Amino acid sequence: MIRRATAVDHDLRNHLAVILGLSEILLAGTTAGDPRRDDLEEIRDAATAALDLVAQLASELPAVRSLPEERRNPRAGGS
Amino acid sequence: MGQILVVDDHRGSSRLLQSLLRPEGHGLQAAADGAEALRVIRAAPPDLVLMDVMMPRMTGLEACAAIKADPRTRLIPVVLITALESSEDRVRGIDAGADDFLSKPVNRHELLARVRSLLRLKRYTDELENAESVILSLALTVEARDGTTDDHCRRLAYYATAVGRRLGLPDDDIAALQRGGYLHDVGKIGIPDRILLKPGRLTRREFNVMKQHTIIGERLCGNLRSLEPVRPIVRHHHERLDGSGYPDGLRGDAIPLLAQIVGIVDVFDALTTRRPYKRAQSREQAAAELLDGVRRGLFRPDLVRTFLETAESTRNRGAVSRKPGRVTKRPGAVRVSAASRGEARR
Repeated sequence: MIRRATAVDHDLRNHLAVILGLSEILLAGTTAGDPRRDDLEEIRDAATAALDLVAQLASELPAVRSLPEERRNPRAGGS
Repeated sequence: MGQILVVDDHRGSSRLLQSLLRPEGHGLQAAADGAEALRVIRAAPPDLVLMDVMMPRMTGLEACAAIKADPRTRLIPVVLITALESSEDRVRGIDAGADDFLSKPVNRHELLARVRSLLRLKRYTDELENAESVILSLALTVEARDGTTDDHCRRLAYYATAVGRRLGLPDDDIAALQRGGYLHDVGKIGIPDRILLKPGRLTRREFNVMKQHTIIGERLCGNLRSLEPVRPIVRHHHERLDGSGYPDGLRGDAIPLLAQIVGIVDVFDALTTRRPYKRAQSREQAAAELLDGVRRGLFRPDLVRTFLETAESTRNRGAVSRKPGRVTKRPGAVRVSAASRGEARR
């Protein structure tokens, strides 16, 4: 269970970081007044909020963070 | 701009990093885990590695440690990227030899700033390495000026490091002996040919000029921090325990140990090599002469003994041969010098 939680935490951060990062890159490529800006900002803000949530959840699982084996290879017993 | 290797098992993360770096004009390669990263690095060494820590098969920490353990790749900066952020993670990363860290989600400005500064560092170390190879080329040029000996520098480096290992010296000392073997006579670049290549005996004045090669050589290595440990070898390999050597007339333990080792190997190699002004002595004769040097208080008995044991055991294995046809002639491996000519002619 603990391993699973760590693996999900890690993978979720990875996915969200990609959504956040690519939305920022796309945003930087748009000019003011571009109708897609609002959508992209929505994606960026949602990813940011989700990353905060993950961080909050992870902080409630302190025992998970101190298990070196899981940290070394989160997929060892997970997905 | 530089060549950057992105290592991440998560395809989206790898792509994100590449999308962030591409507009800066960097050349990009990708690998999906530590093992693949090592293969790519060995095939085409990049200027910088950005690597995820948690990956299947081989983790970023393991791959980083492997990069830093290999002398051919250890100067490539490695940035570890981790989704988790704790000081414990960083300590593990530092232990593995990582040069810097970034946490996920990666901040674009932070990423680009780190990449810029590490690429600058890499260029600097590359230049240093180039400067070192220039000095090495000088040493081989010195060898090339006199073609009467085969591969003197290579043999010197070989035997000096073998003696160092037998004495149980640390790796840094072994590395210094290796370079010292090649560079010990680099200062002869500053000695005129009419003295360096003179077939007959040197006059006192000529010999005084010849002695300068130790000082010139040290000065040539002087500006390179990476050659710092080699300088004492270059300057002091002609010193003798009783103070009769040059350039400083140092006595006993004041002569750096590594310089004493190179000095002993240098004398032996000069004696067993044919020169325009003398025939090559047999190894037995040369060994006897070294032992005579011990009796006269020129060399440390334990060092001479260790060297002779080393020479004997390598001869039995046929490791370094001078027989025609058996000497490896690699491109760039230059035929050798007037060696410790000043020494042998005195």
